[in-house]
Amino acid sequence: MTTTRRDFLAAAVTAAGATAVPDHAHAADHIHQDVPADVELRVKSLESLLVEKGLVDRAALDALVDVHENRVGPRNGARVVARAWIDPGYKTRLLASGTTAIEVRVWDSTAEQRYLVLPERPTGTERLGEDALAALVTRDSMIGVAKIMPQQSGRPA
Amino acid sequence: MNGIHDMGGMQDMGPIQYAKTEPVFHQAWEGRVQAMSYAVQGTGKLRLGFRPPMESIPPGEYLCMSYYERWLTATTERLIASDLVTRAEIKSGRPAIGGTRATSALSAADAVAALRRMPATRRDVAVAARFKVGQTVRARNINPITHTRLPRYARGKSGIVERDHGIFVFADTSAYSQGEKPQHLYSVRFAARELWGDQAAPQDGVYLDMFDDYLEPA
Repeated sequence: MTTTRRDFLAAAVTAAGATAVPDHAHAADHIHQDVPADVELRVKSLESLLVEKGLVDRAALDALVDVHENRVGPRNGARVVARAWIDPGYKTRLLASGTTAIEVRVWDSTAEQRYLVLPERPTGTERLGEDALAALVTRDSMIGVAKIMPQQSGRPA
Repeated sequence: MNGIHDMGGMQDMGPIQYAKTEPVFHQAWEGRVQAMSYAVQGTGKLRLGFRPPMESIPPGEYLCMSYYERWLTATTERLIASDLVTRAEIKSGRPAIGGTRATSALSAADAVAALRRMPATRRDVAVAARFKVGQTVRARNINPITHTRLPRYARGKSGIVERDHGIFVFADTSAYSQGEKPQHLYSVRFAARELWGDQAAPQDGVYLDMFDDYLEPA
């Protein structure tokens, strides 16, 4: 059985009584949610309001969704990693400093920097080209929580 | 601010809902929320940053919201705080009678171009660095009720400057349109034991991005 994080937290909050009737007299500094109408309806309502007020263009929203669904994301990082595996000069430029010490380094990305872990190139990939290598690189390997498994035959999985 | 968002070091929040491969947006409305946020931000008319309203969500509500429900709240509050919409309009979903119509909506091409320019927080100006790589520093014990990027768990703790990232807009003031206050941003290494005591492994460390204003000599 699986409990989602959200269910778990909702249950915990309910158990703690935090969802008891809010005291609106004391909540003036807080952000009010209107009656929690269906979130999808709230989003549709906001979108039509912003379009009617001339603040957003529906075609622009479509384009932005397309960018996020199809043109950015882990695939770009995977290309960086694959290039670093086959191009030593690129790898040197990518890594401002390296370490061989065995320690846990946690990078808490609190400000403007975002970090990418350059995962180890798995064995069995010596004959693969850049595209095939990029296809092996996972999101988890680029945030440093998983290794990329060795390949059996030198062909993409 | 010392809000529920500042969760570093907290525990018992339940299992992380993990999916090895997952869609960018689980439901279509999530993509619309993100797109509206970027489309309006791209107009340059927002006077309130993304984080302050996010961090002002009451803890009980915050914990029960999904990621993009928080985006929806933050985006709505930014629009209201910037006098682009009123709370009454949000409630009714209709423009107020007699209200003016903006002409600032970005075209699809301009919205995508604006997205590509983000984040533009690095500044090419001359600002002296108060600290240098290798120096031992201490995170100031500050507790602003406004936005800060200094995590609670690091306040008062000592670390060593690992790297100087260069000069960046200071988030604590820029989030409120109160000036960019460009300053050096450093990567500071805090030994895990300095943060979490003897039960942490002696060789482990946490690297935090720290603005110049967050630090004092140790």
